[in-house]
Amino acid sequence: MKAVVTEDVLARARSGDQAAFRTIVEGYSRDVFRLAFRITGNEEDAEDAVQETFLRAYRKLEGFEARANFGTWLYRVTANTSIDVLRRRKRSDGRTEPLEDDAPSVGIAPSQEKMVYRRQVRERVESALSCLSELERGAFVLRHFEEMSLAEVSASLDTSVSATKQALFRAVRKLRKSLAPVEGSAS
Amino acid sequence: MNHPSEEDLVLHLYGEADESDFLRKHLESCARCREELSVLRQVLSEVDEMTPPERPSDYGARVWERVSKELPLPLKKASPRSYYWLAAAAVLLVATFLAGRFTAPPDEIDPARAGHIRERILLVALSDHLEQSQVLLLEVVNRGDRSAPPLAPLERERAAELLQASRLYRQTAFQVGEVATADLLEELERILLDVSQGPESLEAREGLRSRIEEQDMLFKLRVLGSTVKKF
Repeated sequence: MKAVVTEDVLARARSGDQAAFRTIVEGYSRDVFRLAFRITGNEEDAEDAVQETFLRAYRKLEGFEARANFGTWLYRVTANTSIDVLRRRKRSDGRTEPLEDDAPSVGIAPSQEKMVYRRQVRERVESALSCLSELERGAFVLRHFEEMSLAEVSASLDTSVSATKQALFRAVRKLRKSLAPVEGSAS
Repeated sequence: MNHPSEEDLVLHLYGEADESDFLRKHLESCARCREELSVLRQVLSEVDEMTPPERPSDYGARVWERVSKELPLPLKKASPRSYYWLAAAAVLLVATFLAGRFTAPPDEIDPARAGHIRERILLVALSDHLEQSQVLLLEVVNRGDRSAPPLAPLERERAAELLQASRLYRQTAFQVGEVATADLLEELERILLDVSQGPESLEAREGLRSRIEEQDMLFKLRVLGSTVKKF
């Protein structure tokens, strides 16, 4: 996450200034949502994770070391909170909602055929991601989408680099297996 | 011929491989591994189709609106001990009013007014107690996270004090016929008791967190708190 708040705002938030904390919430909400969505896989859970992330951050802020990177720290809180939300949801109903059909797609004016294909791919990808364990999904999302190094991912997920690597390998293997039927079907 | 493993190729794609001459030279000369790499690259590029939905331009403000409602109020930084005495004072006042009703001459007491004041004092104190309990329980839920440290001694002490206060409220609630409130306070006390005894291990903290979540304790406290505030 890119730095969107000044050190002064951080210092005031750490001392309990809620106006300063509001600046943090407003500055990082989109980034937190993006990561939460990719880990949880649906909007409702992502929104829950966003709210819980900021509440946890508020309570842990006092322990945040000023010299550390706040964005990285908030990433860590977001990833762990999202994994907790995902775990709770799996425990309660084992349900994963597919992506919304009208989710924006990448690119400009794609043909209808391509749009259908992309929707199918998105649904397959989401279905494949929902088969990953929490650790596999967290490791994959942080490495693939957020482009964190394996060392950073392992620090964020509080696991060893070796465990992170294995989780990433398993995730890629599962995704490959699930997505194999559409490999090479679009160009 | 020795081919690199799928793991080697994944690390290579993510720029995490120990780029030895072996892998680089092998890929230059082995069509099969280049094809394997190409398939992996295609699978991973398909994953990029999972685009998070757009958020409205005022999204940050909307999140703040939700989050700010859950933040503890600044005045709640007072010592937890004060809440115990606040609770005790409320119960004492109730007792005083009750005693006054039976000892003062009938024409000096308006029973309806005395009853109203008595309930008002108790409800204000109870509302405060519920808010404090929510803050503490939310902290306990957060400590069920594996990256979080165990509860601090001060938090356990705070739980013990809230437990004492809760017992007084429960007894009073029971005496005035608020059975549902008394039942909820009893549920709360069981959790506060466990918190005060300090769940040290991660397993114990996760267990406590699950109990709080499964019983919807935070939600119930919030609902009762808002009901109490409406009076």
